[in-house]
Amino acid sequence: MSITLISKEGAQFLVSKPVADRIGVVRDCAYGADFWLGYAVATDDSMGITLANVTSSILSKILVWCEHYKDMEPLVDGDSNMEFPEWDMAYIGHDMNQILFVLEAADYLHIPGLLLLACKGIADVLDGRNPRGICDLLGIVMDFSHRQEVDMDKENGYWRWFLHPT
Amino acid sequence: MPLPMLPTELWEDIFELAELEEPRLRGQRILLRCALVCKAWNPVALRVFWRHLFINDYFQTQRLSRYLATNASRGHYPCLQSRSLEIHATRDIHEYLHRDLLNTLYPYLGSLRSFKLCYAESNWDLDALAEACGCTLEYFSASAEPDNDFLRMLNRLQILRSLSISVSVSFGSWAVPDSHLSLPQLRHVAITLATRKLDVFQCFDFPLLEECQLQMLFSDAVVNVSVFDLFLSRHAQTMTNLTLRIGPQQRGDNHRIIMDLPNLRIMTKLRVLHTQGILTPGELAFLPPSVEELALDLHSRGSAAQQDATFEFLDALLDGLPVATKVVRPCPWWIRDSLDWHSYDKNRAEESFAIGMCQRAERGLHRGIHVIDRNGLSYGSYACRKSASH
Repeated sequence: MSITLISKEGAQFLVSKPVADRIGVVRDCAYGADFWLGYAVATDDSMGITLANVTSSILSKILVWCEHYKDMEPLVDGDSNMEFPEWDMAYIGHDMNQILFVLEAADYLHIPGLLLLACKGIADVLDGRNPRGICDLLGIVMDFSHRQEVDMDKENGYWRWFLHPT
Repeated sequence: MPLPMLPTELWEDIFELAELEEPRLRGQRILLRCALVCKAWNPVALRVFWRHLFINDYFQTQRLSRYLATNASRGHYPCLQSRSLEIHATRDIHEYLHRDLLNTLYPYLGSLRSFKLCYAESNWDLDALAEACGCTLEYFSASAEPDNDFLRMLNRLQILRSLSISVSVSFGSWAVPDSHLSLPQLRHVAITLATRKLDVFQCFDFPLLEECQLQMLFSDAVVNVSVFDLFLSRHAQTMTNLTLRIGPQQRGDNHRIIMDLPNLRIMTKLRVLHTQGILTPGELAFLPPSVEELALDLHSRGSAAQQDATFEFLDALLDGLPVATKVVRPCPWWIRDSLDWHSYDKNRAEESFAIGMCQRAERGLHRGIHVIDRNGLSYGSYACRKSASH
């Protein structure tokens, strides 16, 4: 059995059941409560599920992850050893824009394993950047007033010392 | 296309992953930089920052102490958000820790779920700590020789559930006849001894003890094993897990004491036994029948003798010795990645070891005994993976 996923732009992606099962939203839509009892409701190959918040490029990237993990369990939050496999790190890459969209889509589609991987990807990109660099990267406006910045700087003086003893 | 606006909860997830970066200080640096990005990020990043504190430097200690004291005077207690605190004290900050940091930390200890203090000194004033500590507390003592003062201090920690002591100096006043350490709530004790005497166990009394780990570092012959045997008999009704690592790791199986522990036989609740080196068939027959899991650290790299001993042990187990063992975990330390068959191929000895283990794992399955590796995977699964990879 397979399911057709339709992206925001209307592009169609035909995926097999094990791949679709990785996507929480699709799983719930396609099988409903009976899925948990083992009786699939949807048996029609032509059935389509529209994912209005996910673009074609992001959906195709997400399906690569789902295909990779169709037969095995990904790392999940709470695992004692939080070391991601090499494949995962190569998959998520260092393109902040793309990771953010993947993260947003993984949250919307309810894919916990991919959500965790995207969080890790962003954490890695943040590493080594100063606050100004992070703002530029993400298009965030530094909204501290001058006074607040001075206060923060004073306060963070403790922390800088705390972290950078010389 | 504009970048997506993520909800605060997702940023908190991201910061929590950043905080786990190794080394720990790197993760804390990322969080502090994120706190300076914008007003929305500031409270989220700081909340994660304070949740798990890790200190291992004199300057950090000094600065944190002053920071906490200054904030406390303004009625602000950031450390109350902390759930775990780990202090790795080094010799140069003992004095400072003793004087200032612990005093400033006392108000926060009640909110902690985990507090790990390494290298505690016996002369520290820990009365208040004993009062305030409602969390798991671990102690390691390195530079000071444990003595009666140290024992008295530990005796005050009546709600302690986990105790870890590493004694790396010469054995001394632990053996004072009047010494006594009684901790009514203790469930787990780990003792590392840089001595060949086991006398220290005569003064321990932990009525609810479930798990005991003994590590001896010296290669000399073990002295006064009977004292440890009596310790086992005193805790026979509660202890379920026992770890015995006698001697340095690389030559661990030179020192065998199991046959000198007759009280092992009366430990009817013992379920898990962890030893260093492979057991002989005689030692296997000596174990209490209640043992369901055997974990065995093997330390002779590529040694044919070690391999033969392992196979002999497993054959004895599989040929029907009357024990309740359902899980056997032989752990050759050289196998780091149990799924990497290519590393076996580089070393014929390791490959022949793995193949032998696979064959015995299959035999074990017929008897309901699982032969598994350190990652909990059956050796039998190697055979499948091996054939699939070829």
